[in-house]
Amino acid sequence: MIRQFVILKLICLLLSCIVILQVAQIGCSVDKDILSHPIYSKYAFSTSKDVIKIGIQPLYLPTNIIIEAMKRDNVLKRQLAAVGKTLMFYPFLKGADVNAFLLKGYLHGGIGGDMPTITAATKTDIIVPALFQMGFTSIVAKEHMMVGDLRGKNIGYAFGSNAHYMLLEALAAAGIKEQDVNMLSMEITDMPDAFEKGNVDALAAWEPYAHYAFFSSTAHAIIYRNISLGFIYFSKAFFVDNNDKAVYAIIAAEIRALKWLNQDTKNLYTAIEWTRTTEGTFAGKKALLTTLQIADLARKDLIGRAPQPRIPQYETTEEGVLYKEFTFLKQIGKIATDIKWQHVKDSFNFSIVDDILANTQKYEIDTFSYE
Amino acid sequence: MNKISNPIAIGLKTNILISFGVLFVVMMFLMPLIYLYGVPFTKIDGMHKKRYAEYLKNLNVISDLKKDKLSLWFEERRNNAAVLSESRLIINHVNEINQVFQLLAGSGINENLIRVKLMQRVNFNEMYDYLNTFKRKFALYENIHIVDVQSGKIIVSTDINNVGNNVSEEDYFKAAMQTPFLESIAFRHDANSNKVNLIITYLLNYETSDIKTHKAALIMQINTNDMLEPILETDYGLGKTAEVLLVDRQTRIITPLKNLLNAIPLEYKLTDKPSQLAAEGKEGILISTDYNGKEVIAAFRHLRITPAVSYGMIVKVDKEEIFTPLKAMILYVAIFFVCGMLVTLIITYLISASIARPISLLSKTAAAIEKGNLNARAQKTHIKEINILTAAFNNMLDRIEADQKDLETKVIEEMDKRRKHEQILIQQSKLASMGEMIASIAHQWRQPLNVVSILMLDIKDAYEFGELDSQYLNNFLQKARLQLEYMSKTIDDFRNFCKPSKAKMVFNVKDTVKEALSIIIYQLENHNITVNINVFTYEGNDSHFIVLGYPNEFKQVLINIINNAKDAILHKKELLLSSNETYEGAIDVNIYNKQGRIFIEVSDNGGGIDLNIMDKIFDPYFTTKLEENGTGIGLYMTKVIIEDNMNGRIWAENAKNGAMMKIELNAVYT
Ligand SMILES: Nc1ncnc2c1ncn2[C@@H]1O[C@H](COP(=O)(O)OP(=O)(O)OP(=O)(O)O)[C@@H](O)[C@H]1O
Ligand SMILES: [Mg+2]
Repeated sequence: MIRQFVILKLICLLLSCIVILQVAQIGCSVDKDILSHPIYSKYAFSTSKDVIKIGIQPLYLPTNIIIEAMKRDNVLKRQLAAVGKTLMFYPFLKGADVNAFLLKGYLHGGIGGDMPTITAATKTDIIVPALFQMGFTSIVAKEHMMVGDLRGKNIGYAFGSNAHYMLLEALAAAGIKEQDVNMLSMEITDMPDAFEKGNVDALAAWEPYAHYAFFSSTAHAIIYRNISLGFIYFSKAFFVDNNDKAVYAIIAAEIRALKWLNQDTKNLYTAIEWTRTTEGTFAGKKALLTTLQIADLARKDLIGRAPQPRIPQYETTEEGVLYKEFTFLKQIGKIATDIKWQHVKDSFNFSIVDDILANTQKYEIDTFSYE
Repeated sequence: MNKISNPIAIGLKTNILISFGVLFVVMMFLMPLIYLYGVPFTKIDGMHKKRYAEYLKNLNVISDLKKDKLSLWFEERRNNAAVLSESRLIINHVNEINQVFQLLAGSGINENLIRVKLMQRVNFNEMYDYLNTFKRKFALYENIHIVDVQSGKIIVSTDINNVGNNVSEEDYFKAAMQTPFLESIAFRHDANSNKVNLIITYLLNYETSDIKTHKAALIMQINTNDMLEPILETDYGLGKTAEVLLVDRQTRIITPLKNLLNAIPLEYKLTDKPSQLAAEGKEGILISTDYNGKEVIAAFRHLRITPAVSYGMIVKVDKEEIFTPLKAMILYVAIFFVCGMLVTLIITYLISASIARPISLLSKTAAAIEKGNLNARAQKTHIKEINILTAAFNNMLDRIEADQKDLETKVIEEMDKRRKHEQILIQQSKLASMGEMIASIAHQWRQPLNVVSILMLDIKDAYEFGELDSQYLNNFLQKARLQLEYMSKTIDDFRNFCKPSKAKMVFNVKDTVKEALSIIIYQLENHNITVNINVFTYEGNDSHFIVLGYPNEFKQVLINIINNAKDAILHKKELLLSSNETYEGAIDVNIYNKQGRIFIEVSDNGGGIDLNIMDKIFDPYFTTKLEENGTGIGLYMTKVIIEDNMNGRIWAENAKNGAMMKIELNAVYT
């Protein structure tokens, strides 16, 4: 009897150790040791005032297609040079990581989903001038089921990502608690393996990972999706520091890129190839989806549906999804309770895109020069 | 044969029936459960889960198809608008026509005249024809207008009667002008026709002019019937209660509700969760309650046409309808289970009966044999193993039967031998007492011989004294004859005794005891042993002392017993020889009838039988005497004669001063 108790105690101790370690790990990956991250620690962030540093996610499709085009946009380069600036994109695994570096001052801006955008807005003053994506993040399961059926299952997710938020929201909508499922925090790059080996029964992932998992077996099912409005955002301090012209040039480049991608399917395929290369290099693996598969995703996203990246104003009102997301994040304790929505709402700027669209010639929206 | 009886033992058939019955019932019970619900903690899913997953898959696939169809339709309409807006014809002439229209409108002439004047212009007609051609080609546009953005007045239209009309108060136009971008998409409900149209407003010359200076816009009113019909179509095996709903961003219905016909499109707001989630941008399947308060399974889909324009689509089916076939399946499985169980039980019964029958036959044979029917034999059966058993069993029986017969003859032989042996022994023991008998005869003859010699002296004296006359002689002869007869009788008695009794006969115990005693009385008297015979008769009638048996042998019994008593007394006398104690040997014989049983008790005062040997004295060849005095078969023979030949009982006890032998015999007359 006594011996059994001792063993039980030991097991409890061990389990609590593991829990503590895991919690600590999550804590680390979020904040504390982000600088010693195996990938990010190698980054040499330019200290020059003339370099605009933006955090991006090469493993986020089809958003990254626009960025890949922008990277090669000679007009943008020229326009930035005119104001004495150059643009640098830094690749990150997820929005939370971009934010960590933005908050520490290593980055001036970022491109990411609504959750990182909102959290960034709650932690610092930012300006959000344009929409960048309206693609889905998905919960992919081994078979067709409802979210409620995930009870007791292992679910892989990337902490602090848009998909993380989507998962929590899906669970809440299905009326199940976070404790009712077994949420396993992992990097997006580890998800395909975990899913294939059965370590997780479901994934909360974005593209191309969601569709890669979905396509890997006919039994697999996308059981929940959430359209995620993604944005480009800059730290307000950077914007007001005489950088408005540069920001305009960058947004103009986005609009130009959207137009160029829309103009000809060949352009889209070219940009997708750039994306696949970048994705492969960053993840250290071959691109997950084919060009055609990515093109399909692109057509259903901002690229295909809206060459004008205007932020939908309705969604920033108290009826809109962004506000809803904000209150939900607050409810689950991801946002401090004292932060007001107005502060976040004020971060959205609706005039920059309008201005550029009203002056298409000035911003050379129709001049395409991609190298 | 020992019976192994166990109060809870049950028959083989019942045993098999119960064992297999339980096994089959458990299997029959588990099988449908596994069939329905699978094996827990494994990948083996039951029918229930499979059907459920299948249904969800079906719902997902159909919803996705519908969504894609709808998206494509929107794409096509937007493309139509884009193509039209890029038409050189329209781009080139729109500004000119607009100016003409403004001039005409400014001149104050009525709308009809404006239309007539416009119709006279080639460019107007070309635009008019072009728009109509377009309209005809697609056959889904209600009408296509080109409006002046500033005034909201229609300057060109597929329907000439619309020219000059003002749309500036229309909601869709106001909304389009609020966000003056390339295109604007809105649904419009016409209260009169109760039709919902899609209206795409597309700015013309957008590329080349700045927003504020836009002059004209294309307004395409699209009949949504050909879009909605296939979307609302639910004939995909979804179920009778299936319904597809389309809602706008504010969850207002765009399509009419199947079960709430007076709900006005673009006014009636759905508040259920799936509708809200769909409008917000979520997709999935949820169990929820619909606008009628019914529990439904609802797949919700989100269509983001542009960042600002989005719709929600809900494909819902009453939960009851989906779960009814599942419930029916469970019912069918249950019925199947019950029927299967009955059939299984019957089959189990038959199987157990067929297995048990040969064995129960075998056990019946065994029971018959136990009752004594050695001829009973087990029958052949259809089971090989049991046949082997049966053959072995029958073989064994044959052998037992043969052995039994063998044994019987042996026993008979043995018994024969024993009887002969016993007779020899009896004779032997008779011979053993021969000496004594001769002494007894001699003793018995002494008296008559004395009498005869005295008679002879008498007759001599008589002769001498001349008293011998015929009377005297006759008297003498008669007296002598009496003596001789007595002597002859004695000899006869002796001879009789020596002859073994041939057959059972009735005889009087009392008389026989006396006769036996007379044979050995001389020896007893010789040793000064007194013998008392006490016969307890009832009213002088001694018929109740008559028994059936062998009188000579019975005499032998008494002689044996009395001889033993005499031996004991003599032994005691010898022991007392040195002492001065005076000792008189005495033997008492009591004969009485008690409740139909005759008891003969012979007791002596010879000191009794040592208790250590009490249980051995009737054994053959058991003796405590010296070799010349005893062989040890006296009492053994006695017991054989009394118990085996005369159905009586004999036993020894110790009385006051010596032993008492008790004989119990059945009286013939009770
Ligand atoms: N009346 C008696 N008193 C004491 N002992 C007796 C008496 N009758 C029998 N016995 C004992 O029982 C024994 C067996 O008697 P049994 O008549 O069978 O044999 P036996 O007298 O020794 O020899 P035999 O064969 O000549 O009679 C005797 O040896 C004696 O010890
Ligand atoms: Mg004797």
